[in-house]
Amino acid sequence: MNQAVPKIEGHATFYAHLNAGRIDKARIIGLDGDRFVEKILFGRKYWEAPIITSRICGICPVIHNITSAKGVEAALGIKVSEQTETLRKLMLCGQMIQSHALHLYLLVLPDFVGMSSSFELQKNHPDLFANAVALKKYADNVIEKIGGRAVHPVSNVVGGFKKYPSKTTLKSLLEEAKNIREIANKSLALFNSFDYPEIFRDHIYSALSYENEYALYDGEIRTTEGNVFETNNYSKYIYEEIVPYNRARFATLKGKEMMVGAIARMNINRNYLPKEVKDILKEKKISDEFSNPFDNILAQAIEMYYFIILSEKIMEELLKDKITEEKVIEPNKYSDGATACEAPRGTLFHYYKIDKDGTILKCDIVTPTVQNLPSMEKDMKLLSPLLKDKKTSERNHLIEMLIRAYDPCITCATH
Amino acid sequence: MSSSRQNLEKKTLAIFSLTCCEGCQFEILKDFEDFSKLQNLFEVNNFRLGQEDNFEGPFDVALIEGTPESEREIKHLKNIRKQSKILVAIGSCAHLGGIQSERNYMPKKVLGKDHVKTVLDVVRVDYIVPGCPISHQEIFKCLTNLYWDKKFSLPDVAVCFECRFNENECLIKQGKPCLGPVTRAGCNSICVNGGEMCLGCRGKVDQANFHKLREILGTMISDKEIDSLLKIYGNIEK
Repeated sequence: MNQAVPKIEGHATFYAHLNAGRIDKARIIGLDGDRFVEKILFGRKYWEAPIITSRICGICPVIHNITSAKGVEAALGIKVSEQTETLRKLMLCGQMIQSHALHLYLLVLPDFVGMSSSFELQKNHPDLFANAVALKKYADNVIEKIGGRAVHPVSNVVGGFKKYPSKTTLKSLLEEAKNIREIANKSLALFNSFDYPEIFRDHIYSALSYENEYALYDGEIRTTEGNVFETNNYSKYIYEEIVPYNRARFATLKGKEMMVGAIARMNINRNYLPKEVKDILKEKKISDEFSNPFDNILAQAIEMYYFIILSEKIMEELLKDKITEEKVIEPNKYSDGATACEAPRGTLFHYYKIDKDGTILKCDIVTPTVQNLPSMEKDMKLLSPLLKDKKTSERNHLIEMLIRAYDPCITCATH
Repeated sequence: MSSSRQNLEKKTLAIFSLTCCEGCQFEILKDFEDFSKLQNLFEVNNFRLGQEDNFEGPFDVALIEGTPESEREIKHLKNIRKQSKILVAIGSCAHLGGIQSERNYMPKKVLGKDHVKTVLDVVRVDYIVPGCPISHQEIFKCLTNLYWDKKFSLPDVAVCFECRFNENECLIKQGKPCLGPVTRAGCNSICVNGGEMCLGCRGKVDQANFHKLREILGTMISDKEIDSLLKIYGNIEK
């Protein structure tokens, strides 16, 4: 048993039992306490759900805020305007870039440049440090200008937005995006240049899919096992369980381990990326299919580039028309409903059941990390051949690198 | 950075996290450049989220977020107190109990868990930087003050004070609930600027008049709803 793994979101430790050069037992153990977020919503008003659930996670609050609002809207029969959806998608672009930039530059990069932390970057690689600063700043700005605050946004609520960005704001964000695109391209080249440890397994990947889009906000779930299901049916396919040795929950696709997140989205929706991204993939000779969990790192770098382009497109669209200050839409029924969005780490499900006086009766949240944990444990075993003739500290470090590649969020997994 | 600044003797800093969303740590990391400048003043000796090499102490200043949920976390917290000259509780969880403190008002049978304790319930703290999440500016102001051995104090006015400066239309005057009048300023009324009401995440201001607030809110929402509003980030009326 080790200390809490450094440079991941939340506290977790791992246990790997080495027997004759093979890992025969592998566990990842969440150490954060349960906060029972689903239970504390009971009896609170429906509009409080996006505010409280965004506090599940400090690295992906935006996606919890949006998925929760969408889930409550499904339960209340609210259909939001196209403008609301567009603004939410723009916030999601910000969320993806923000989370991926933090993960890639702050948490992952030190592993591949031989440093303890990214703060040393400023001395040795000031250019890389400047890239990280610029990407993070752009993402924070998008979320702040549309959502009101970078961590735990305030303006997006059940039924719409309470505040709207001005055209001047959008124009200056668009300017910034154009400058940042090249930086994201360089980041992609950087993360494509590393030699990742090679382990392979036939993973099952699962992600949202929507017509011919790189799905993000809406759609049905598709897996590489051939399952296709509506998001409100998720509990029939995704089994969430409590594991005795763990505060973090585990979820499987009907008992089978699966992988969600950037790598899964790339494997399922890659064909729907715009031409400018596809061209870059071709130019950099990036493989057509990812099967090494470490590819998740590369997939995030690709997505970061894509989401900057998408945010530009969304802002250009928004600037064509007038931005209307719409009223927040009120409930027209009280029942139950579920929804899903793609979070930086994979598909996030929120379910709500709401009483006729507007109080929450039931809530269920399945986070991406919960869906990734069983697969993470299994992949730890694949590292066995790479651990040969290595010191204990080096072995631990390699296992930690794998855990970091998955980009787990333990505060989400326990909530 | 000029060479004279680099010759300053650095103090040691540690950033710890108990059970919470870790959003306050991300607020500290909001601007990598600011964080990097901070390292001209402080040697960051423990920061699990950002670095691999971490020490057990002693520290000149330690920041702690979250609520201690397990025996392990309580032990950890007490040890941090022992190791730190100055301990700063950051964020609503450490300060007020955070969203999870709702548990304290639910039947124990439902959850089978103990009451949520704040950091303040378990150890003595020297300073509080409140909010859910904390404000980037305020935490850096606090750390700069502490580096120069200056005291750090929070504004002793209500959020309404800042809200006026931001020229927001008063929600209460529009007949909508808001906790601004009883909540400590320092956030630059960020929620009201974004269209939401103030939900009291920074705790109560010294002269808060809850009796009057209840009377005013009572004309808009039920008593039960008022109770629940005052407890989102921990009971601020206490």
